[in-house]
Amino acid sequence: MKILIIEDNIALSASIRDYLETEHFICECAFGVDEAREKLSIFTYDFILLDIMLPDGDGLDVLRFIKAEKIVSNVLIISARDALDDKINGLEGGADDYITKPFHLPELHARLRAMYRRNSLQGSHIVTANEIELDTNTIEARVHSLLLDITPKEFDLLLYFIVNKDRVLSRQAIATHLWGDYTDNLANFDFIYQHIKNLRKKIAAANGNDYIETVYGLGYRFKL
Amino acid sequence: MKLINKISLWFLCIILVITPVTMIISRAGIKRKMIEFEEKRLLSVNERVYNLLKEGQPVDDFIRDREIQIAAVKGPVPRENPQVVRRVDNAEGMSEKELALFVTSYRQVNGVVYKVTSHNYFINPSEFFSSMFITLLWKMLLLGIAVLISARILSRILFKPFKSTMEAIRNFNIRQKQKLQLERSSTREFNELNCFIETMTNKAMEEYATAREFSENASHELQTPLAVLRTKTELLTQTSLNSQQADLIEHMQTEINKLSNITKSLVLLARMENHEFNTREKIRFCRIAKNVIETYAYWADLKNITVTRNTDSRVFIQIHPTLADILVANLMRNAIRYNEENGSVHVELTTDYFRISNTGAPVTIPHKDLFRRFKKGSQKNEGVGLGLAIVKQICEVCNFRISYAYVEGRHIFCVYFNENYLSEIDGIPSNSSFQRVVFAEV
Repeated sequence: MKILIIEDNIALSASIRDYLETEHFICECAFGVDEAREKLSIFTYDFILLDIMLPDGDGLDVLRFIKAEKIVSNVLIISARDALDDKINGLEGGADDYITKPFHLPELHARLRAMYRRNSLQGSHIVTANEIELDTNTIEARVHSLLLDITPKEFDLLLYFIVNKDRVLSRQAIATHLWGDYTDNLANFDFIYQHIKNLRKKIAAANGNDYIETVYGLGYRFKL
Repeated sequence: MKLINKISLWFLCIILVITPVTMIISRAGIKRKMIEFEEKRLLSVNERVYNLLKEGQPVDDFIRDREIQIAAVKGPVPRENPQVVRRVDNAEGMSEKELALFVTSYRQVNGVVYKVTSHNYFINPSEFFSSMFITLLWKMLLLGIAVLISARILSRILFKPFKSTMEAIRNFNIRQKQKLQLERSSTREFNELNCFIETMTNKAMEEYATAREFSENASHELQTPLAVLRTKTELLTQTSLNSQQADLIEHMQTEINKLSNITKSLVLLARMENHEFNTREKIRFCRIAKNVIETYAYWADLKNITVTRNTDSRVFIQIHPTLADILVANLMRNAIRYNEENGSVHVELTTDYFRISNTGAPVTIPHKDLFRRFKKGSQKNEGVGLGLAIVKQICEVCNFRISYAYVEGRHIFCVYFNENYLSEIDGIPSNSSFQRVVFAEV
């Protein structure tokens, strides 16, 4: 899958690129509006990551350009501005999703995958990891084809793990993914442990393997 | 006092002072003119008598109808010639006074010095003063009425542009994107004022835009490096690390998280101060409160805290939905964070107030400091210390009042949506051992 990262901060751009390349994305970077336009008129991309504030103009102009040129790509806006009108402008302008800085890389990746599932052809709403199968349309999880009785939050958590398999996910990243802004100013993320314990129990009850491992001091990893 | 009343009063004062003065001046003028004229006439009469004497003609005919005495005197012509004598006497048979004027001329005719004295009576000028006084009163009365009436009519016409300017200023909102446009009037001063106000508001709007831009940019400038830091540490966690390194990274991540929360909170506070969340819409507060409380129920569960709720439905409050969410979330988060194991949280919502109470140890800082930025109830807690500052700011933006009390081992925060809060506050059992703080500044 090909992605264009339009972000003027070179270090951040490199981080995103590093992370996504190991997830088998083909990444290209643009650092300004003009460069982005040039690349967009020559190449086609599956995804576009778009920063709103760019040194030579407004990211929303690029969004308008994308719509005017009828470029069929999933657009994910990244912005430090969480002003409401920005959010509305971005989504009304045709962006598929919006993420605010500072974001977690697994979160970014999960959003991209979610966008892909939404906009792709049939069958893509099934996410599998060995014996575990998730249907993102019906929010149903199966282990060895046996339906699990899990809450929507637990489903989200499992999906987040599988999408970012073999990655270390920090407790903060998990909390932000599941509860968004409500975890702001929450200093203690120990509650994640409880959540994961419940999920492990449910998978184990269906004779699933315990793929979730605790990484000392850092968080958790879904290891296949 | 209205400007027009002030002006009218000034005019009345001026009239009260000036008209009597003019009356005195005109009275003095008339008096002087009268006497001067009479003196001249009597002198010319004397002159005619003297001419007759000089020509040796009889004067009897001439003086018959006139009050003239002619007498020959011995000795030389006195130095003071002619002599004028004024005398105020009672008019005959009347109480009013009259003025008698005697003019005596000395002339030497054929070696004999004649003294010719003619006199006349007329009304003492003091006598017509009283009639002038009545005129004066009439004059002042008429002028006064005229001033008062015309001031009222004129003010309505003259101050119309001023009033429309005031109305425009009252309705002016710095967040509006359109500039303030004021009507032009035919009065130069008002035009100057309008020009001045337009320049001022435009300038204020520019400054506001700059300030807003700054707060936005500041957050952008801080969030991007934070995003870099966070993503780099995340990339680092994907490499193989020993436990010491993992520990270090975890600490970094916690601090990055805190920094991000602080910048977000500060930007939110700045945006509220910029009145960016002003709204006239009423929202269903009960629904938002319910959602937020349910979200936090999970965290409460982990600490084995029971959350009870007594919320009225159909509570419509004028507040921006984002702020409503943050308000309830911050209070709820506080209630859980500063709670104890197996504690409880109780939430009440009516159309008048939103009250949240929880068990917990008493706070160590003065209660009024609770709502200050970066003040924390206990230092060991790792919160940022902006939650309640944001709550207070939201209350100020929305015209709510917030109170805090610690009663019988429970922290009680109460947000009052309207003026009924006073009676509600009295409902809290009073006890000298606890402090109670109410922020009612609006």
